[in-house]
Amino acid sequence: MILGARWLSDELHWPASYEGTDESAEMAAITGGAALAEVGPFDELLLRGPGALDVLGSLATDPRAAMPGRVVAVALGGERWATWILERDEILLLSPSGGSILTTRGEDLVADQTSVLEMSGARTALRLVGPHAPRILVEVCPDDTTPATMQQGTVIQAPLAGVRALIAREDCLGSPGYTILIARDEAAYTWESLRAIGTFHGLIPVGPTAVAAEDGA
Amino acid sequence: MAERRLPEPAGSELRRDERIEFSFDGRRQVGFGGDTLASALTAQGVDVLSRSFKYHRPRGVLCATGGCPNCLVEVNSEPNVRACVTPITPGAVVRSQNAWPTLNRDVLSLTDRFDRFLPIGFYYKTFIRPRRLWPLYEAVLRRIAGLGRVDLKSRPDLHPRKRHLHADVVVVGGGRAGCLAALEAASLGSSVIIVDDGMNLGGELRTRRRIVEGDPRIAGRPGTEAAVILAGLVSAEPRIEHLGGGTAIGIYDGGLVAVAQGATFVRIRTTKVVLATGAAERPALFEANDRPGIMLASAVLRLAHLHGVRAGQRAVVVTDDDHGWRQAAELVAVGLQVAAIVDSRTEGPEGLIVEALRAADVEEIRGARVLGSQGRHRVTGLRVRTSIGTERTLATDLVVMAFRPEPVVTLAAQAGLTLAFERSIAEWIPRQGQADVIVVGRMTGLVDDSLITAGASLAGRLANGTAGHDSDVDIHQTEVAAAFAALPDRQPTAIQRGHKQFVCFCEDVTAGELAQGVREGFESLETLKRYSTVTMGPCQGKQCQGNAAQVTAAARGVSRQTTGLTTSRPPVQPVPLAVIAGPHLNPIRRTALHDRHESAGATWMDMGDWKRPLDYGDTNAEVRAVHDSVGLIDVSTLGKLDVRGRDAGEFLDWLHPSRFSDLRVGRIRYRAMTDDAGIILDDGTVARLGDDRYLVTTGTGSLDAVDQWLRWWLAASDRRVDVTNVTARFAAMNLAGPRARDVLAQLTTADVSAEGLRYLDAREFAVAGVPVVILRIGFVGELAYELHTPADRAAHLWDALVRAGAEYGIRLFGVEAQRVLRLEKQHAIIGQDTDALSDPLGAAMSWLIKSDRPDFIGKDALAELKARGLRDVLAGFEMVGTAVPAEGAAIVREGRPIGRVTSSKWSPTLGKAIGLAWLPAADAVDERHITVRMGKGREGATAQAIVRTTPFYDPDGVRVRS
Repeated sequence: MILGARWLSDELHWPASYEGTDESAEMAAITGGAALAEVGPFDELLLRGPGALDVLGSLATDPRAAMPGRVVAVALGGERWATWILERDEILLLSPSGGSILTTRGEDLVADQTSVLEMSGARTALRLVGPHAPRILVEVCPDDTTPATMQQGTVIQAPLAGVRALIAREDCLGSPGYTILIARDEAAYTWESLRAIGTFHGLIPVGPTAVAAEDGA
Repeated sequence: MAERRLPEPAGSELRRDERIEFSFDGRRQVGFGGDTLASALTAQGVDVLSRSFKYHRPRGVLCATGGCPNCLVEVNSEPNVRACVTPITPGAVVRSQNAWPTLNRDVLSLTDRFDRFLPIGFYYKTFIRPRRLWPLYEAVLRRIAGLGRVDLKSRPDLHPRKRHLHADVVVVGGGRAGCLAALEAASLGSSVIIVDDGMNLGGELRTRRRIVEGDPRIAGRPGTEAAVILAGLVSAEPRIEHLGGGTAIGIYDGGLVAVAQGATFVRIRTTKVVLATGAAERPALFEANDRPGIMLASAVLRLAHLHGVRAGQRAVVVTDDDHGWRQAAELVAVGLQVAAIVDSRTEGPEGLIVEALRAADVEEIRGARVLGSQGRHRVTGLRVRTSIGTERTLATDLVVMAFRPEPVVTLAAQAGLTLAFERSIAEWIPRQGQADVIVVGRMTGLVDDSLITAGASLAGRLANGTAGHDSDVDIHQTEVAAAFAALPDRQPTAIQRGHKQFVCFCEDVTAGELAQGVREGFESLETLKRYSTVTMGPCQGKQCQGNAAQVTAAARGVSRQTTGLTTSRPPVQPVPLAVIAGPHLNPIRRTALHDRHESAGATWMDMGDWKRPLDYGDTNAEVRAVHDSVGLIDVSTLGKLDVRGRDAGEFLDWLHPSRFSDLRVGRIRYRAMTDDAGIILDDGTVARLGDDRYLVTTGTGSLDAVDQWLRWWLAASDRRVDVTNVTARFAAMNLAGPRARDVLAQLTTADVSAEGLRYLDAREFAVAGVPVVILRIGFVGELAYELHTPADRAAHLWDALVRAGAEYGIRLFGVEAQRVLRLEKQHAIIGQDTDALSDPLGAAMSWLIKSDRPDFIGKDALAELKARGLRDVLAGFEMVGTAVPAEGAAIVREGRPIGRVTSSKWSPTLGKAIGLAWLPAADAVDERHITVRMGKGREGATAQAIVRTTPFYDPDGVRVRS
């Protein structure tokens, strides 16, 4: 609210855009500067256990890509889920929030050597996008997140502004982009930290509209 | 201002049309664009820039490269700024350090006259008796000694940044060798980063008019021109990036080079590092070798060439090597008057250089020893003993020390390269042999232009990995060996007897003190370093290591080769910790109900990273509401772990003195976790939500430790258990008070009656339409329900509870009320009422130890503790009067502490001050009177209290079970 967020609707208090920016400014930031958006909410399932990678491999559209540190897509319950393979035995599945048959979807994954835990709502997802996004990220993350090291489709677990984060490189519109998951209770702080550091790099907050345009690429 | 300025072309970095004003110790000063603080002040006639660490001796520019402590000043409240490498900025407020009341009239310089009371290691010998006076001594010594003071009220205008860079090759040092190596590697296709602490490339060439030989691109040119050519070539090469003003502070495994570039910390990943860190002159040893106006030749030339500053009117050059004659010729060439050159050798160079000096009327004094300097705030004369034994005093205001430069090997040594002693130059040089770190240039001990440039090009090819280079290496190494072999073994200058010959300018350590240290048995340079603090100051040995080794060797009667060098550790150049730490980031955690608390007027408190409501304006009213009706508190900060799997119950049994595998589904049990020594780590509850599924709650601050502890034990186990931190997923709130059931019943169809939801029951059902895990537990001593709900539904549930409770006068209560309420029940808080030595037996938790079980962590230790018998126990107390003791206050007997207060509050319910305290077991008896120290110090006021071993409120737990 401090930034003058305009909500998507009276029912859904999700920022559509922010005061002082318009669509062209948002697109300019995404393609020429840096933009920060809160995205989601996501349904989250945490797949764990020694058999997790095998279960995932059977579902992935490209099983060869299913390896630790990668983001791959899987089809589950008739929907496309983004899958962040954190470790061989720890995999996070994300889908735009629906929640109707989430438990059923999760049960599809249960096997002898796996367990599934719903984690929806535990984390907040931010998108940091734009040519200057890597510079902002390296200022707040001690791990090497430069594009040369952290390539498209990779995911890391790293401290970000002093808090634990999951960071996936997901580029859009030719610009480097990062999806950042942090604990919900640390989201406001992380947002503020990225905004503060991003000031030096021309970062502006953008809403789902701009993010949607980006995802449409 | 013009008086000490040289005409152009001197001052290549100056922008003479850009006047910049700043102040030094309150006086207005003026410089030009391109000036450093030191060059501008020197040009303005300011000779004294600082006072020395221990003796408060006046100090001026010595090295002009940021390698010594002589020009440390405070700039805009930031202490220890190196004036010689810091550009002037308009309006900068510059102050001197370590002087009182003024820099030129420093009262503390009296210490210089009482140096006999401050011998080497004086803090081990003097000022140690009587022992009770040590605090006074310490305060005075700390006041006298120092390197500036941190102004805690000001925040330096520093915005630390971070960068990550990648390159095939990193070249450290932007001098001739570094540039040529970089150009060669880049020409072969490598990406290269050159790190150099100057803003302009060229290194020593920038202060040299002598003709350069070697590489055809620069051969036949004066050094200053060659530097410009090299900088141009580098600038035109797109594969090279120049990190100007960057200091490589460490080289680490995996090809990581750490660079401090101003306020930016740069991490560079590379496959090859080329070190071209050059060579540096070192100070000469003679009496009072530290007076302002006594400088290294390289410093005088930098001031002249780069900043157009004439460091003195009448220079005397002292040397023991041909290098001194070359530097003298450079001084003459740049326009300084050189009155004499004093060479300790009887034999010296002849030829063009000597002829040039003779043409400039430079007196040659060969075979002479420098005895000492004269002057007060600046050198006015130099005493020398001539070859025929007579003593002369040379009138001079600038003594130029031009001894053969030492290879700068600290970074090479830190990187792990082996150093070898080269007899012909009597110096330590890096031995090539580590494939990914290559050394080139003057740091290899070479001075020959052709060999240096050939070696640099070869290094570029090696860094690029060009095939077929083995023969090149062999040829080059043969040539280098021949060059060293052609030199006669260099004999170090003998150490003179004399007072105040400073070896370490940082810590005011003299040659005499080091010799004394050796006589006291500190023969190893490493132990002598720790005893005397030599090499431990801001220069980190760069300025003093050579002389320290030489003095030590002389005192022991051995060679420098025997004494060796001290260990080089990163950072090789002091860096503000803020630069390494990066931006100031202080994580803050907010619960899902943060906005609700804000709206309700919460007073905030920090609990670890969390923001929690301390109260909502009236703690007593909040306590009363919980006892009389109903209250609601946000407890989302509790740690929450989902523990599930076939072996989950057995795993929890292993971790705790209590048993959980026999806990029925839907029931809760209190837990306290101990380590191998039986020490309490954490407490909370375990709720069994399914056959193989448990919800474990932890303390707010102990979640990470407990999570790690569980994972650590799982890592070495084949148990089938998954532990997931679900703290952020679930918000939690506690509805407490005799009307809590009435409130809850309005929002759910589930049976929440006393029989349907008993004390220590756990259920999952919907409340206000949202899924909730509900735990019937009572930390605050009343009927209470802990509701865990998905964080994104928390606000909805909170609002519903507040609305439903309105008719009962529901109040929000904060941490302060919660602490009062739990203290009335004598519920301990782990970490506050316990410490790293507390066990469950002493903390009145022996009831939870089920020692008849199979093994669990801490079982043996707890059995031993039990057998040993209790010494101290945690017990409640109530004050006889109304005063509330401070938490941490001592429990005393006959003036001696026998225990301590861990928690204390005023209870509005009881109308008494109550608390918990650790007491000797013999005193932890009901009705026993104890004495609590209320004031500070041994003589502080005391008050009486009475021990109570049962809860102050509802001792039978009727209300909590109702």
